[in-house]
Amino acid sequence: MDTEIFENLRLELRRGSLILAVLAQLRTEHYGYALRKALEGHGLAIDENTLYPLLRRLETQGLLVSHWREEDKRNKRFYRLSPQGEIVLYQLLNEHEAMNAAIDRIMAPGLSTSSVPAPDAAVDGETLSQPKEQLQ
Amino acid sequence: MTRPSTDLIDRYLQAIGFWLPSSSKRDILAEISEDLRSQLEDRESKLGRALTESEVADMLKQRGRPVFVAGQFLPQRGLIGPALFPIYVLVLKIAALCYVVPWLVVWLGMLLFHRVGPGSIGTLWTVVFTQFGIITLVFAMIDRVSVQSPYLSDWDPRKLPKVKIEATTKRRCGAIGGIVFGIFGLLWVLAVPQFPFLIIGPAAFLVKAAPVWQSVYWAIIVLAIASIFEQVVILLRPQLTWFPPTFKLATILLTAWIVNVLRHTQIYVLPASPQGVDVASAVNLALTIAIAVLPVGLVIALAINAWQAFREIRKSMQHATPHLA
Repeated sequence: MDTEIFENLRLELRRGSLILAVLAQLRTEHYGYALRKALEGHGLAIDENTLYPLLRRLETQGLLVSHWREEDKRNKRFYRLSPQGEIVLYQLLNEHEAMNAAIDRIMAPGLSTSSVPAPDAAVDGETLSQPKEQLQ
Repeated sequence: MTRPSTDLIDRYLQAIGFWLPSSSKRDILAEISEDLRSQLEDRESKLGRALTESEVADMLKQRGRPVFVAGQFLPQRGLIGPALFPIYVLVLKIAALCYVVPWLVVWLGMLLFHRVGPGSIGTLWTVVFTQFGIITLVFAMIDRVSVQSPYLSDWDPRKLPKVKIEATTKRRCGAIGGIVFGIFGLLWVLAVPQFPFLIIGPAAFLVKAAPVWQSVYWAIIVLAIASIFEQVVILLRPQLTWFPPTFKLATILLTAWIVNVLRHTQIYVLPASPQGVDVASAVNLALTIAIAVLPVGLVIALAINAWQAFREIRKSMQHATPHLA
């Protein structure tokens, strides 16, 4: 039961962060697979079944633009941030920073993640400092 | 020869495509296809060899059941998750087709013959909402249970159905048949004035064509040539899916003109001998009824083709999407 609660909260917490990461990564143009690899390289592996629907949704919302182009003898769909996406990314980053700062203040003094008794609260073989690789 | 990995990926894509809406199917499949092939290349270059069929099957299995993958691209609903949503939509469509549509047809029939009043349509809505409610409830319950079930993970990509003949190949085969029959049709139309028995059989000795046919004969030949032209274009450019319905709109309009000319007379055949008087009046009556009903069919055909043409033109403008391979 605890695992299920943690899993649901984890998904909820990461859903927004994932959008932020995708928008930030797409300040430079990427096609789907290259984007996945780039995010993975930064320690944020993302499931392809989550990434592609997300990209389509962000494009429908006008935050991304895309076009098909041939590269390495294959047609690939390249995505990048739209001007509207740049504004939204800037606003989201500000919000994210404010949120982080607030949480840091709440946790202080002396209550950082390292001081939380994580080992006992290990969930599904992981600790808070070792998040699952595959994100939803 | 097709590589086992390519064949398996194509089968997987076909299975995903079954659950996707036709408006976005091509685009989504092209993108998933590209991602799968990139992943395949990536792993092969790391291993320094081609992946075996079983390794590709594992890769696809890890990605998820086709219905689940397709479900992620559909509008998300709170009650029914992505794994079941495409199946839920399919069942709703089947229920509408097998239950609601026949009900509507029967109701319209009863209304036309004054067995029920227009107010009784309320019963239809009750039927529709009950059906919709029961199906939704059942799927919501299955969704709760299936989250824990091995349904999503326990499947074998190697058991997916073989890839069907490509739509363009199918269209080309159909076009070849269409051209052959079109040429026979044209020769037949050209031969009819010389050999009237080709159209009315032994009755040709009793009746002959009325003058009204002379005024529309050129249009009938144009229609026969247009049909061959349409098939030739399909054969040479099967990817132009907007062309057949758009071209049919023009031919339907020409057919409508012919029908309109014919409607202004009720004499389509004349007796060729005194014995043919009764036959001529019977044929004229039959053709008068047929020509009176034809406009209904033409309006339906016009509406269907206009909708298809609009859909295909919009699709071709929206997606400058490449082929899947």
